[in-house]
Amino acid sequence: MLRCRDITKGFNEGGRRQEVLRGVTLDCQPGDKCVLFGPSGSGKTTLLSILGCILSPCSGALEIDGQPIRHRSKSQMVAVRRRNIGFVFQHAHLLPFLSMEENVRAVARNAGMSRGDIAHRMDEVFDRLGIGDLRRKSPRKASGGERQRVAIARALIHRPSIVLADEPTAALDWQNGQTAVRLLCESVEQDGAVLIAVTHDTRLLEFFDRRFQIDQGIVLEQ
Amino acid sequence: MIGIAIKMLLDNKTRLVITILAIAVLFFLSAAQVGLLVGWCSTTSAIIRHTDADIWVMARQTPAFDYGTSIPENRIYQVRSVPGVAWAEGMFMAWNTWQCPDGRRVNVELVGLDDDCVGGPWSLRAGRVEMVHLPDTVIVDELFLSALGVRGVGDEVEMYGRRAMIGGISQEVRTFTASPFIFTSMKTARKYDKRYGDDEVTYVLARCVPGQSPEQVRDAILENVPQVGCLTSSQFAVLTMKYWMLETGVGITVVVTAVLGFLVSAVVISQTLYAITQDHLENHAALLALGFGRLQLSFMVLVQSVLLGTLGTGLGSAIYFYAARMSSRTPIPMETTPEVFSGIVLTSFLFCLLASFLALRTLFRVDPGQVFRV
Repeated sequence: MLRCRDITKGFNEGGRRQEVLRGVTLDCQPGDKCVLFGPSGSGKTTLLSILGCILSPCSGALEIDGQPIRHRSKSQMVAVRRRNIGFVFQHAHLLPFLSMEENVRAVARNAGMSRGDIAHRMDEVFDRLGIGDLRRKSPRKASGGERQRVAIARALIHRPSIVLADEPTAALDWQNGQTAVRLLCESVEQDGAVLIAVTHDTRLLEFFDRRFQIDQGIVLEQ
Repeated sequence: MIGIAIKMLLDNKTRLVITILAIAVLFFLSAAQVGLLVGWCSTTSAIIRHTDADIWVMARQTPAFDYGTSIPENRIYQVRSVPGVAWAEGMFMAWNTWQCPDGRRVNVELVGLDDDCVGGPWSLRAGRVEMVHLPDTVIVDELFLSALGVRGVGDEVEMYGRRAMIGGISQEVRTFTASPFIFTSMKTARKYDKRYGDDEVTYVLARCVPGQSPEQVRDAILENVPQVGCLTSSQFAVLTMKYWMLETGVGITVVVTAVLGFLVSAVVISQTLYAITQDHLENHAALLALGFGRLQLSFMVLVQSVLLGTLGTGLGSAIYFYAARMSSRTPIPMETTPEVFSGIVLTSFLFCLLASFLALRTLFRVDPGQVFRV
């Protein structure tokens, strides 16, 4: 489902080379709920960006759904993001000028789903996340918790094989954060996808069945 | 993507309305300039185009209709004898002074018509064109009644110290020179203008026999009639238009203003699209991260550009056609043709598309990774 081997990534900063990832190797199977935790600057977000085909690694290999990712091919990276990956960001990043359901539908249509399939899947996901009454609401008029639940719906709508969540609770209070993570884990489990969440909040670790600690660019499974 | 592009535009309705109004006003400015140009071109050659003649014979080096000089009257007979000429008539044309009843003097262009009144006013509100053959009778246009200090048929004025009576009122016989056309007979015109002898005319107008092309007959006239210039009607119309539009600089001024209108319009659209793209950078980054391609986002910007252009141009066109209708009964009409107006609209759209360049440039610098940093 998701395999990465010896991923390295470094940046030049002020004339100095800084290695952020030093040979990361991960294997995740459908239904795995993984959490990546570690201190700030440890490389969590960089790894998530590489797994999400937004950044290219300096070396190493990445395979999603058995398909090797050629990081030099921008179009392949876009296509993989479009069909195989769902994102939940720290802030929901919903388009404020669209309604909640339009935000979700836009991603589904972009993934090539048919109208009928979109309608059916939207009903399913909105019901599962308990946000049926938010469909026509504007993100501007919604609370942070509501926005994040819609962002989860958007990440799941096109049945991605991998869902990447970057600090999904950071902008929420504890109660809303807990609810969001629980819904995310349940939904991913039902869809049989891989969930990789990044957090620095250790209270959330109990929701995940695989825990990876990252420190100074090295990932260790606990 | 089109839906997202439209909703992104509608997100700031005030800005949208202001931009559309600005584009509409600038489109109107450009279209009005081109409309004036077309109107002026049409006005400068109106008498030539409305005259039922194929050929104009004139003094050599005549630069435009309004600046014809005398040629001997016997040229009429010489032209008539050229093979391929069906008929030929003379025409008198000279600048003159009109003295209004209140004593004011107005420069006019005096047109003297031959027996068949060829070259006379093509539309009359009062009287008939043949009335010019009555003694001391002239026809003036309704657009210039007040400028000439007269109210209608029967009023009397002086032309170079001689009596002139209004015998008819024409419609929409405009002048580019601001000096109204006064139509009378050739005989009366010579009485009003002592610079012309009784055996002189300004132009000889000719028509070809069926089957002969004006170009062939023109060449035959040039071969057979001495010391004259000869042009087909369309050539003479173009020569006159070119004289007024290019020699006087009027055309260039109007074209420059029209181009400026398009350019400012492009700047306004460019500024708006850039501002919209800047305002939505975060949203563009999120869309990129979610699997939308840069080409899709570029398409969105182009859709916005075309929409702004369509709405602005549509509103501007409505204003233009209203203004053109209002100006149709004035000495300075705005005119257009389907080809010219299509050209203006296409140019406007071209500038709209060019205006999206800055926004597209910004778009190609958006980093999808920034969604992880915010």
